Amino acid sequence: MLPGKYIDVITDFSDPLELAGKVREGYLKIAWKSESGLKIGYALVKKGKIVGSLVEEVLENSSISGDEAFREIFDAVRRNLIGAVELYEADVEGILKAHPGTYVTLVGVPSKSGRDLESFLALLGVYSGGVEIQDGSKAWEIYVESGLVKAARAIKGSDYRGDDAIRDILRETGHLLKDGKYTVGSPHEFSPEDTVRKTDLLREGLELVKEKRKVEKGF
Amino acid sequence: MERMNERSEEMATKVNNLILYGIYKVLGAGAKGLGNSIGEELLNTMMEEYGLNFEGSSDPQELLNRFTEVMINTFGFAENGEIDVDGNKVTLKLENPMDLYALQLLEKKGMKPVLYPMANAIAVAIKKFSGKNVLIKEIRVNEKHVEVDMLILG
Amino acid sequence: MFENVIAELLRVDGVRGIAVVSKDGLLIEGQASDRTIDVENVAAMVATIYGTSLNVSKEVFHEEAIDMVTLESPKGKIITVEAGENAVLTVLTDPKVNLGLVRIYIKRNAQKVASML
Repeated sequence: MLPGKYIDVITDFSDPLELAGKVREGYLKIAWKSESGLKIGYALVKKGKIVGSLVEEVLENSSISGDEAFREIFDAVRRNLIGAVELYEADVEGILKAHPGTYVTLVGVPSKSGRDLESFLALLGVYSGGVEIQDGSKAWEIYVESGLVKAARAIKGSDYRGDDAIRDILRETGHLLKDGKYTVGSPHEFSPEDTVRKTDLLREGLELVKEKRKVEKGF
Repeated sequence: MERMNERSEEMATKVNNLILYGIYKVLGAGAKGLGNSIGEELLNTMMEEYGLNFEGSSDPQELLNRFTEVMINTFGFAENGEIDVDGNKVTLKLENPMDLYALQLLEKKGMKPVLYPMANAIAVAIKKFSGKNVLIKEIRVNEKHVEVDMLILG
Repeated sequence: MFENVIAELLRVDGVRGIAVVSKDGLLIEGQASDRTIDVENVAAMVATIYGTSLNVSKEVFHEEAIDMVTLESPKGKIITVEAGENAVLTVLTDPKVNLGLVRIYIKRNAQKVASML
């Protein structure tokens, strides 16, 4: 259990993690029942960004932390297992110093659907499953597992598959940044031709785009 | 023989009303706690003995409509029924239901009704077939109607 | 919906079960470490005990308000508090539980339940 001052409990939300924006410095506390038991998850928040994470197994008295914990929290969010989110104010720096393992490396708050690059990159870091990406005229499906893109294919506007589909997405980043959106879930099955060999290509490419945008803004 | 049957029915209703009165007198708000069990028994009886069927229904609104329709059109429990929905708040309004007299009697004796078997049975049906919990917030009785406010939880 | 309340209370030493129960006796959510307990049945009983206690309070103290209902048995305790207008929160504990601590947690979580209904 983490120290903190209870502020509120919220049940009316579309995406629990978006409530991070309501916390200046503190954490979101959530609990859910899964096949493996009753769990409590903490997402440590500083200035609206998730900086740390901890998941405790209530009955077995065990816990995991950091990116691994945050992936589990995001998985519970994705499966709509969260009915309520408690908001706490807390000394996040103090908690992170006392429990260094709770640091999460991803930046930004992942979301089940969205339009911005930061939340998409955050999603890639925590999500396992299919994602549909589209701009006005083209669309792709990718399959992500623990931060790596394992399969991809174009479903509209071209017929690229596997690594070619990833390159196709990267070529279209200009359009995607303007009109693109993504949603978790993919209605189609992936086949062996969709296998991606350079599993970190999409993430690296998008990180470069992000850096480039930062530099451009700086000038 | 016909008169005897009429008298037996009248007597049975009176005895039931007195039982209800006795329960309310001793338990007060505690009588409310009996609502779910009574609703469950009523629902089971309706399904097993009277063929009430909810197969394929999982939407709370649909379950509510179906139950009310069967209670009124098939069993004649009330002369008419209306369902008002406002988000997750639902009001069930029954015109001249069979148990109106018993509820009016309680009110005359200064006891506010805290359970309403038909609403409790609906709550059990919604929980059973859609997994959603239903709270019965208020029961209002007037000259011709019984109104029940319910809240469907997410 | 009330996993947060159940998880927090289950972590209190000596707490063996929790139930959020509507005053109609409907089990909204609950968990007990002892699987032989019929939680749904107990939920209806707890709601009735709580409501009847209100009636006793009305009869004796002329006030239909109670702070907490505690049932003590050599094998454990059952503590019930109101959780808003429509529900009660009940906790099953070991006989030698730290009652003061349970009271703090049950009151705090009853407020959460009330604000969620």
